[in-house]
Amino acid sequence: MKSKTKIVAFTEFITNVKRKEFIILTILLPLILLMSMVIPLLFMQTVSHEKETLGVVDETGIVLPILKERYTDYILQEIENVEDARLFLESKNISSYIFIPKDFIHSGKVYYYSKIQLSSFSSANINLEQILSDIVIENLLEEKGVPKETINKVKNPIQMERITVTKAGEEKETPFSFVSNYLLPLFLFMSIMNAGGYLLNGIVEEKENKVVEVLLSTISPTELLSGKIIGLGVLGILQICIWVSGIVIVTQILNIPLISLEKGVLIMIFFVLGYLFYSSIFAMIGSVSTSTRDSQQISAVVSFVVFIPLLLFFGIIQSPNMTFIRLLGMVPPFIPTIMIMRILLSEVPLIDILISLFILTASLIIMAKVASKVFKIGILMYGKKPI
Amino acid sequence: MKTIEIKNVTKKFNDRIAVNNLSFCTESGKIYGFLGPNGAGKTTTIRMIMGIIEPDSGEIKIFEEKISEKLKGQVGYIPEERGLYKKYKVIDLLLYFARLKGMSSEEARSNIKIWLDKVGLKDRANSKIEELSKGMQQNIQLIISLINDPNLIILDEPFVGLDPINARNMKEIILSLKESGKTVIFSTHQMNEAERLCDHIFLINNGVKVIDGSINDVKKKYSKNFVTVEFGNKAVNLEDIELIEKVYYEGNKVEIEIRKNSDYNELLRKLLERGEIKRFEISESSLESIFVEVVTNEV
Repeated sequence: MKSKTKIVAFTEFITNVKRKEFIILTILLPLILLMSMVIPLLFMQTVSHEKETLGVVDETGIVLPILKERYTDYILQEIENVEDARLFLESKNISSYIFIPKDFIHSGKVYYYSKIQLSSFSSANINLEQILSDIVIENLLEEKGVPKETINKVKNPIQMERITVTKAGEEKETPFSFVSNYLLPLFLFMSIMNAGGYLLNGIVEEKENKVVEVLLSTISPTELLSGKIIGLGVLGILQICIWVSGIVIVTQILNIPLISLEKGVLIMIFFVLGYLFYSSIFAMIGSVSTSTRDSQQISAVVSFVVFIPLLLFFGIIQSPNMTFIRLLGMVPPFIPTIMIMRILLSEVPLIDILISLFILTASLIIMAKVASKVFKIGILMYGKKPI
Repeated sequence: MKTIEIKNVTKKFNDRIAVNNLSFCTESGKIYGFLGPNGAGKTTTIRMIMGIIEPDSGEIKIFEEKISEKLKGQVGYIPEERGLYKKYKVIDLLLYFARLKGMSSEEARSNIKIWLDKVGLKDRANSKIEELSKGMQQNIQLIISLINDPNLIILDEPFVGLDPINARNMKEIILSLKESGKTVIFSTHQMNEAERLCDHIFLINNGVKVIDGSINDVKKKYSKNFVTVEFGNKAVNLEDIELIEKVYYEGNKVEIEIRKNSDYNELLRKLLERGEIKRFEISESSLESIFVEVVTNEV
């Protein structure tokens, strides 16, 4: 590396690592993500303290006592008949009621009246259905004289244990593996966007400040640009190291197996190449835009393109090697995100990795060349856009 | 040694010709004034000398070599559009640029100390740039350009925005650079500064060189002789006097441009016939009037 490039890289790193925004983001982002998982849990718990009332019109006479015993999501209020229930519902004393007809045990028919839309999505409702279904099973089987043990077995017939098979061996799946698998790509891309954002702002700032002319009288545009990209890249890697060590600590505490070293290295390769690819784009945006506001609008679009593949997360879980995902993993702007997720979630065929790496590297080289051209021309254009 | 040598340089932006077939050269130990109206092509020329933009045609050499990254280190440059990183500390900023110019950290530190002392900013080394006044920031710029003791110093509008004290400081520094055998070339609109400082003048207009000569030659060639006369009462018509080229009336005062090679005593004698004279003053035309004259005649 040329010594001037090194000086720029070093200065760029030191200045940005000391920035308040960097420190806040590095510490706060994991906390925010943690909160986004903890708050819903806390919320669910407070919900159970402030229960709503569910009216029950029970014509069978046997369902309500069992419900009262097992169902805890709502306060249950017995109502004599359907007419009264409807009156209560309209006078807002209750928000929902359930009507259990006389032949419920045999017909299985039950009616749930509610003013709340989409109530079937709530876990309270799913629990209710489960309990009612249990009651029907118990009654029908008891009538036939089936022993209690068998009845319990029928109510809960299977237990499936999920095991992920990797080259490293077998590992049990826990809800937390979902979290770490989803968070890691998210972290990687937050970091790329962050470093890219600093690069973009730095370039626009130098233009707005007019420092760039003094800089260019001492070093070449290529040295300046590569110094910036290297310095901020190291910054991004530092950030990732901080976050990953956080993940490692959490996973160690919770005893979740980590990804293999081999996968880790591959992911880092895609991370670095991805960073270089996107930073070329950001450098280009920075050199052609004339104000910070200008550049932020364009970069928002770029970030969106980067994050689109994250929306495919569940699709990738279902079939990580389907043709659509494989092809998407070969389209330059999507390669880093898609490939990192595929590597994390499954065993990716070697050929796919090689093709993606090749395409990404080739497009990166082209991108960097174009970016440095645009940078050279664009950086000295104050106030007017280059054609 | 020729420090800058420009030969037939032309630069176009889209269809507009910014610099048209320009040639000039500079030598060490002299101060050059680079003059011209706004938009004449001064900044474009300077940027081309610095290798920031490329000429469309022609040749530029500094220190008798084609400009290269290495040579750039020997040129001190203050651009017209000046700016600094606002969030940096003075010392960090100066160190950064000194290191970019190839100085070692220790050498840079000791030079910075000397320079900060010289411009009276010794106790501001740890201030942030944004905390400094505009004049102080200009001094920081000056330090950046001179930190590694360059042999060629190019200053684009160095006097803009300076208060009289800082302006005097700047003049002293420019003169001391000349003393130590360096080449200084600066562009300016302040003709009195140019007149006092420069050994040599380049004047360009619409990208074309109009004047190139030592300050004395320029004055000799373009000077018109003016006489200011104050009469005891309102001035009478003077146009009929043969020696006079042009008269500008201003109450009791008249400004007379006399024909070349005329005798002042003869003029005085003729004027005495016209009335009581309170003042009779011969003045050479200033660089400023030469500038205005040449540029307006060009258009």
